[in-house]
Formats: sequence, structure tokens, C-alpha cells
Amino acid sequence: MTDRLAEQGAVLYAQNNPTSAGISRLGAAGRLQAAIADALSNGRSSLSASRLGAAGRIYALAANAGPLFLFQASEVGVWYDPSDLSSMWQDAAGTTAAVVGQPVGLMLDKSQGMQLGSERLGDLTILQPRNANSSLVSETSSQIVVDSAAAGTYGVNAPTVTGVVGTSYWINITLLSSVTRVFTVAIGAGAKNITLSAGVPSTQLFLVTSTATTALDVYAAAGAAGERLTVTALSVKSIAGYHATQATSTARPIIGRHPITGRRNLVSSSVPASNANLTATLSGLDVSGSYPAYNLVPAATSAAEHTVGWTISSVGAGVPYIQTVEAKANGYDRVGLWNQFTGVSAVFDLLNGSVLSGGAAAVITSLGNGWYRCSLAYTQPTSATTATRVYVVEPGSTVVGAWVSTPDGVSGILVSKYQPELGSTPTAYQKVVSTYDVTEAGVNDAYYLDDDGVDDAAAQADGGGGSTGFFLCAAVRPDGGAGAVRTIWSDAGTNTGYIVRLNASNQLEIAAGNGTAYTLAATTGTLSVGTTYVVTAWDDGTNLNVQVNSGTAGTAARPVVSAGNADFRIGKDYGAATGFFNGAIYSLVYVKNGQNVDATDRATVKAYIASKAGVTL
Amino acid sequence: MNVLRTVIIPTAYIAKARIMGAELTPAGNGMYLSGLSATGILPATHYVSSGMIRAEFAALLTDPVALFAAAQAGAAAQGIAMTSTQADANELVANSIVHDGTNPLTGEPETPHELFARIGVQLITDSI
Repeated sequence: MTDRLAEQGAVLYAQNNPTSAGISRLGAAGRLQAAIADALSNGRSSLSASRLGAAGRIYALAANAGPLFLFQASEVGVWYDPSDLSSMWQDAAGTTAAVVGQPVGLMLDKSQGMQLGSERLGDLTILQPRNANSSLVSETSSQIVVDSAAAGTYGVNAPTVTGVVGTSYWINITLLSSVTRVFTVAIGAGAKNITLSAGVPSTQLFLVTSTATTALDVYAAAGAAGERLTVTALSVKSIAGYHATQATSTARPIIGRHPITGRRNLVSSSVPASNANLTATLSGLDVSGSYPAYNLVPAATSAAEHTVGWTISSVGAGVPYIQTVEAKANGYDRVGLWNQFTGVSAVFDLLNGSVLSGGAAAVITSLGNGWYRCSLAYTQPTSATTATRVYVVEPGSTVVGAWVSTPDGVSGILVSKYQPELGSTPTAYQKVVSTYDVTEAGVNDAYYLDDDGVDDAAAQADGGGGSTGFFLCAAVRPDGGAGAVRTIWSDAGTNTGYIVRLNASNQLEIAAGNGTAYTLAATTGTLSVGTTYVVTAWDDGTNLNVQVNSGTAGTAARPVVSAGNADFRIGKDYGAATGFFNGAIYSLVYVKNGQNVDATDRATVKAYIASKAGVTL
Repeated sequence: MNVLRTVIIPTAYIAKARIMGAELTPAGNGMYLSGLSATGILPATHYVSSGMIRAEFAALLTDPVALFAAAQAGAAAQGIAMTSTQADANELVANSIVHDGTNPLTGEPETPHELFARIGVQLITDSI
């Protein structure tokens, strides 16, 4: 018995059990697979530490198990997880950590646990002058110094430290040049250029992926005679997985988050914008002490409406809306709300907590400490983009547009937590930092990568090319492009490989090529813009299948698949600047040759993906 | 700091735009691959790139002198031959549309797709 029970990413498993098939039905790979999402979604007790599932697997209670179990036998595939910011980077070289609202140029694959390999360099004595033009000045275990003998290429290398094709390496190097010069650090043809300023040491941490077996090399391509390079630290460690990159800055998707229960606040930013007639200044916190409050102060010289406004996209005519703001008198004591097109408005008294105008659609509620929640409901008569506003109203007036006649430039009204939303009842506040950053207290975030449908996509270098099966599961939210092909994943060549996409009929579709033509399987139902779905596509060795959430799968008999390209694309067609996905892609899991991903496995992964995106299956 | 820009280049200038993008920075390599036309089918009359770029690069898109100087510096830093000229930079700036996410007519936010509709072009969607 060679079972090994270990915890790896909160997945319990055993490997290399030669008796598994006959005795304990541990599955073809002899693994004990455990996944909390599966246990919960299939009604297995979540209170017991572990129990034997119906298929002979041991299911364990473990937080955030994820889909790692799919890869425990080193299956080729990927798990991209935008919710794990440690796996996301702004640039393709992994030098700048990902930040919500900013682009992503590198997605580390978590399918192999992002495990670092051992150090490829024992110490710096493994380095040597790279060519005859590189004169060794000194070398110790922690430093090597070389001079250029003449104009031309010079530097250091490590002939025994060679790249492995398809392997990514984290390189951490500290180097110093006597002159301002560009140095290249390369292994296996994966390279990064570093611009050094004369006499200024620089430490760089970055990721390169080898596409050849050439050795570690640090060099200046065009040095002058008498230059000096000093390397004082160098580390090279592989990082397991099939990582995806986007080298072109404008083509990088943007990482975003929203409350997992969905976004309700319709503004593009919760911060009120100052204008010529009014300044909005950050001024302490709201009554809860958790959110910023802004002091709206009419300009001293202004003789016009004193208001701040937001633009919101209407979802259609006849739809009820409500806008809400928390406000407190701060020199002035009347605040107004207004909506374009309807002309519906209301004025509230912030001293005695009363509605001065606006009728039944206006509601004011005391929050304590002088703060009031003021709301105004209305029915949007048009599908056009509309404007909403908060007013500082003339003392004594009940008309929202009555501006303060003699503003002193100091007095104002404190406001916080502005939220226009669908419906007729205010809901919990959602803070909007930007379109890509919406959060709600007490609610988990759903993270996604936003593809703009113009040129955003990512490329992976060597995880494609499967032919015996296929599995992909992701949560996606199309945000546009209805009626156009929007590709989620592709390694397609000419009538080869696999494609998963939304087709021109807005159905989820898988295509598999046999070298002559593509066989298609599509869902009957369609995917709508603005709605998040869990999409699953698989080739089980018999049929091509696609499924949206837990709907009826679309199925077609598989062809004898001819392998596509060795690499693949996410968010666009392979080999063409077309088919760009327009919308959000949440977690994505893919298994090359995934014919052994069975129904139980699929259910486990779907449940996990759904839980990360806030989708109810 | 990154800022949003959508840049549309007429097909007549696309080769120069691609070269200059690559000279500026490695992250500018691979720009302007998505085609546009009035009908959404080939041939493309324009090409587009859209997304976040560093603010210092955004400033170059409307300043041909600064653009050319930055391309020279970028090419030198990458160790690649500089083939673009000041005249190329002048042509690119004069003939490109640079959009910052706001409709200049209304001052309202405008997505790249809304921009396409406003100026009468569509993304080319030919695919397998």
C-alpha cells in the first residue's frame, strides 16, 4: 500500500495505490479525491470530517477545495483564478502585482499549485564570463564582476543552467553596470531586457518562459570597451503550471470585482464630482464610521443650481428606480434629489427629518447623530442614459432647483453612500470605486477579468493540442456582442483542435476538428448580455457536449479529433484578430485530453466555479 | 498610472503605426490587429487598439515630436533598429483617432463599441 494522504490546497488525496481498482474503488488513477463544493452540492454531509461518497471517493470537509483534484496525476490543464490576486500580474513579466481595476498581463496557472522548483543556481560561482570579450575581474559565491574587453557583446552565463521548453522561471537578479546600458537576462530563449543606470544597482524579479534549451545568459548586446558588469544576486526557480500572458499592453483584460450577490449601485463612481458651482470635498466619515462623507459646498460666487450629478445607463422604459443618499446638515439643511426625464424631485429637511416636497415617493429616515437616509423613487420613462442629481437647496425653499442665493463658500451639506438602483426599496449600500471595483460590506467579492471585445485576450504557450478528450468550465458574463461569435477558448488550427465560444446565435458551442471539418455541438438555449453563467464544454471520448449552468446539454457525436495547436488562446480566435470575447471571464478550468473528467468531477468543478461567480446552478 | 485609450488608425498608416508601437516599448508590440470597416466585413479600412496604457504613453499619442523622441529612446533601450521617422510620427498623430473613454460631443462616458457606432465603423468579425 503506497497511499499517500496529504493536504494540498485543502484537497485530500492518495496516489499510486495499486489496489485501488479492486478493493476500494478509488478511481482510475487510484486517487482519493475530495472536494467540499461537490460534497455540498450533492448533499453529502458537510459536518463530518470526511465520508465515503457514492462513487467510492472520500469527500472531505475542506474550505476552498477548488478544482485541484483534476490535476493530481499531473494532468495537463489550467486553473486561472482572478480571485487569487497572488496569481495575477499587471505585466507579462510578472514585475507588477495585479490591482483591481488595472490590466492583467500574466495569469499564473494554479492547477499545479504554483509550486516553485528548487533553486537552479547553487551560488554565483556557477556563472562565468560568457565570451572572449568578457574579462573576469573577480568571482565569489555571492558576486561576479566582468569587464568588456572591446566593443560588442559581453556578460556572464551559466552553461549548465539550461531552459526546459515550456517551463516558466521566476528570476530574481541584482546587477550593476558602470554605464547606462540595456542588459538582457535570458534562459531558454525566454528573456527580459533591463535598463540599468550607471552606478545604480537594480534588483529585478520577473518571469520568463523557455521556448528552447539555451542556457542562462546575462549580457549587454552592444557594450563599449572597458564597461563593467557586477552581478551580486541571482536566483532561478521554475514555477509549475501553464501560465497565460498578454504582452501587448492595450490587449490586456482588466481585473474587476463585484459583490457575489450582484451589482446594484448604478453609478460609475461613488465619489461626487466638483463643478464650477459646487465643490465636493472629502470630509470625515458617514454615520457608521465606515464610508467617506463629502461636504457639498456651493461656490461663493455661484448663482446657479448647486448640484452634483451622476450618469447612469437605463435598462429600459417603465422600470422602477430609486436613488438614495445619506445626508447631514453642515451649514445648510435642505438636500434635494432629482431625476432627468421624469423630472421627479424631492427636498428633505435635515434638521427635523421631514419630506418638504416629493410626495409619497420621497422617504426620509433618521440614522442618528444628525444623519438621515433620503430616498426618491420614480419610474424611468425611457431607455436612454439618464442623469441623477443631489442638490444643496436654498434655505427655506422646497424647490429642488432653488440655488443658495448667498453662498458663503464654507457652509454645505455632508453626503455619503449615494446609490441609484433598480427597484422601489433601497438596499444595502455598494461602494463603487470604479466600474471595475464594486464592494458591499459583509458580502464576498466575485473577481473577473473584463475583456473589452476589441482586442483583449491571453495566450498560453504549450497547454493545447489535445485530441482524445477535452474539458472546460468557466463562469462568463457576456457584456455585448450579441449576434457575433465570441470565443472563450481555442487551440484551433485549420479544421483541427477545439473551440469553445458563444456562436452567432448566442448559444454556447464547442467545435472539434478532424482535419477536414468541424463538428459542432451547441446548447438550445441562449446566453443573454449582462447575465453570468457557468459554461461547461467537454469531449468525453464519445460525444461533444456543452452545458449552461445545469441546463440541458447540447450533444453531438465526436469526430476523430485532429490535434490543434500546442498553445491556446483565451478570449479570441486562434490565429486571427477576431472572435474577441466581450465581457467578464471569472475562474476558468481546462483539462487537455479531459475525457476522464466524469460527471461527478464536472459537478464538483461547476459548483466551485458557480460559487466563485455568484451563479446559482 | 494607467489610463484608458482607444486608438484607431486608418489602414494606409497601419504598418507605420505597428512599427512605431513596437519601437516605443515591448508592450506596444502587437497593437492594431483588430480590423474595422463600415460593414464589419473585410477589407478593413481602419485598425484599432483599446485598453489601459501608461499615462506617459497616452500623452505621446497627440504629440508627434514627443512620440518620435520616445520611439527613438524605446528602440535604443530594446536594442532594435529604429526605422520610423519624424514624418511617420507626424502622419500618425494627424490621422489617428485617440479616444479617452468620453464622448467629446456630450462629455458622457463612451465605450469603444459606442465610439465605433458613432463614427460609423464595426469590428470585423470574420472567423472560422
